[in-house]
Amino acid sequence: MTTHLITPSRRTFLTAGVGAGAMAAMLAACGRGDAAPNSGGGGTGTGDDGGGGGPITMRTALWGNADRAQLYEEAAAMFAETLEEDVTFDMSFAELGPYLERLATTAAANDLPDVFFMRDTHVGWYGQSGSLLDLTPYLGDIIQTDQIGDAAIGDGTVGEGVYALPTHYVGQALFYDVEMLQEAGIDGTAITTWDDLAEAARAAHGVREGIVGLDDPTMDNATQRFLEAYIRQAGEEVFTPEGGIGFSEDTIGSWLEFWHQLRSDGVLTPPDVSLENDAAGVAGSMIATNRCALALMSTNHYVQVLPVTQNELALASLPVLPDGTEDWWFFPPILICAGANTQHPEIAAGLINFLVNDTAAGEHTLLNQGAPSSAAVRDAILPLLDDGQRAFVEQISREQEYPRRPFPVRPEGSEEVNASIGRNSTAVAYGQMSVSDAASAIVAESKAAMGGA
Amino acid sequence: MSALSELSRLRRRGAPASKSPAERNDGKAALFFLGPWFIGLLVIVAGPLAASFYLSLTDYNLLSSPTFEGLANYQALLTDAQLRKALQVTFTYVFVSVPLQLAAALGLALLLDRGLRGLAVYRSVYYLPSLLGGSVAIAILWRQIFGTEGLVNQVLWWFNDIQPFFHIQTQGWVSNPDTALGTLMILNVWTFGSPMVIFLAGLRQIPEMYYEAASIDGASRWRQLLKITLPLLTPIIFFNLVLQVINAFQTFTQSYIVSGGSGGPVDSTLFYTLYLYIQAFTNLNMGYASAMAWVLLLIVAVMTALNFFLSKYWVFYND
Repeated sequence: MTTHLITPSRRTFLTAGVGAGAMAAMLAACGRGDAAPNSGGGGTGTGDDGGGGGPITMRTALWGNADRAQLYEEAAAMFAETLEEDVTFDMSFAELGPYLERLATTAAANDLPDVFFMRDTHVGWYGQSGSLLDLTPYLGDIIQTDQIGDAAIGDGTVGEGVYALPTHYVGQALFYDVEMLQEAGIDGTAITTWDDLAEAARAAHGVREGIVGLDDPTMDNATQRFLEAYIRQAGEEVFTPEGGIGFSEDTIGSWLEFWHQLRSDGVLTPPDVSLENDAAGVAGSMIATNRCALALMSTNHYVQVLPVTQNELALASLPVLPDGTEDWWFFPPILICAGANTQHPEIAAGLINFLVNDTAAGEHTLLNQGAPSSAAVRDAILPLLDDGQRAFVEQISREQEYPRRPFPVRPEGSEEVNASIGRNSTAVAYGQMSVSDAASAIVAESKAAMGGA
Repeated sequence: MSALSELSRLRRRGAPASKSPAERNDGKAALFFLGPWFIGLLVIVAGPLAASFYLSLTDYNLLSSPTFEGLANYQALLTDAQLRKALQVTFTYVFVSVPLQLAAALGLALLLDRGLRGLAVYRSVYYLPSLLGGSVAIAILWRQIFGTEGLVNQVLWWFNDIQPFFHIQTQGWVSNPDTALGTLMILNVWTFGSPMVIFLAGLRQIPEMYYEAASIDGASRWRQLLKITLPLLTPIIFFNLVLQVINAFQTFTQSYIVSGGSGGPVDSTLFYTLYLYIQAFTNLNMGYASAMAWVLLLIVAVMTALNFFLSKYWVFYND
């Protein structure tokens, strides 16, 4: 049998080879985007910091939406105008979950952005791994620290190095519907303890048809900040500075019992509604949509809730344990850092300083990520804020005057601890688990996640 | 003399003394055209497979270099309570939803096979969910439909209103640990279009004369279904079963979207692949996740082998 395959001649082979080479070159060009000759894409640019090296493109990244990205891209451009070098900052963004996944994979490829925002939940991992630029040599030089204080430096300190700095802070707060509490005969400003909160929730429940007394915060799978506040008020920590578990079964049990009692009294959001609301975001929350009288929220959500809510909402500090510690206050930082792979560490440090300390940057970005960490920036933007925004900033400023013990950096495994707390709390809410069993499970699972510590 | 050397001797004897230039060119052409595929196989499939297996033997968090620790990840799998839950969820899903999906697909294929006008339109309409079922959009839609104020509850409220005898309790079906997995099973059953089209093709292959003969003998339609259609369709049922079982083991998007990536509430939608993903990209336990991936491969291989083994007891090949 004779086969009639088309046999490539030398000419066709060469032509194909040239074509393949051209295709490969085109693909490579596509892969690098429209990067400038001295692009810092992937932190691998070749432009030098001393100027004269041609245009430089540096990558920056943040989590959030397109509006936030545009705001910070404009702020970075303002910084670029102050430089002698021809620098362009290329901003990318994504929702928090995909953002963190993208960071992890780019870190694995040693291709982190030059400057990017970092969660306090992850800075310990990245700092320990050597993926981040140690900012210590630039502190007091390129990066000014006199307006942010030692606590801010501590927020990004991992081991011996300072790997990130806070641009903004958020906090935990109590939101309440002023009219609903008045109708229930409760003075919102008098809610200072957890027992006060429970009493107010019972009084306000059903004050209007379908109104829930208090939104249930226990099933949040994310960071469990309210529980963390409760644990610190009890004199314990979620994580020890050594990376172990710092809370007891008794404390977590008393927290779950507090909410279990309210749930038994029928004054909390039903668990199925509560879980759906977690997915609906801040604008769809119970308090924003006027379906509950009281809710624990992140303080910065106040400025997001006010434009969408129909009712008058007030902001108050989180309740405390009457006999608890006084130095429990903590403020989750929004951190900014640089990749260890950046080719332009001094420009990166300059941009970090600009976003942390420069009033022009603060006036441009305002409260998009929280209350500015720099006291000077905070003072500078106050006249630009409306009443609700000012209330948020003033609450953070006021609370930061209280004594604060160090806020340990979250260690590797912290995500598993959060998931365990959320999962077991939800099981209690659905009556699938007793409070004591859930408390035992949380402690056991958390210790296992932290390697038995 | 060993068998191998004998085989080698026979090959040498059978081989031509030398290849012609045309045959040599054929060989080069084959290599030329196979080259890209072979490189792709090595770089895109074999390389990552080997890397994944190596990583499964390491402690690797993506941020630091992997450190070899032998079978520690596989040993940890044995004591992981969440993994057991993920297996329970996944096997429940596979064993309940795949038979229901195939039954729905077969039932509708039998209806459509009765010479309906506009069959092509019906076939396309019913096939559509198969294309969309695994999408993010449909998962979000599902969350809305089965939400506390979703379409299902609205229908139930209406039903409770129009009659006083049966009161059906409404709830957030997706956010309740007792019912969340059920809603995802319904979603899987809804995507019956793909097996339905294959069943339809199989039904068209059954010779009409069998039915004519059965009719003459007085066999009812039901008896024809049991004695002719189903036996002759068993190879197609088997084919669909294997495909859908493998597909169901890889379910990810629906549970990821519906549960917000957590597998909740209370791990009720924690599919194996979702738990693998959480370990890899949330907890950054990439070594452990790699070990999970290999165990999943093993599970799917065993299930497929089991299917093939059992097929000799119920699949009828008309040859």
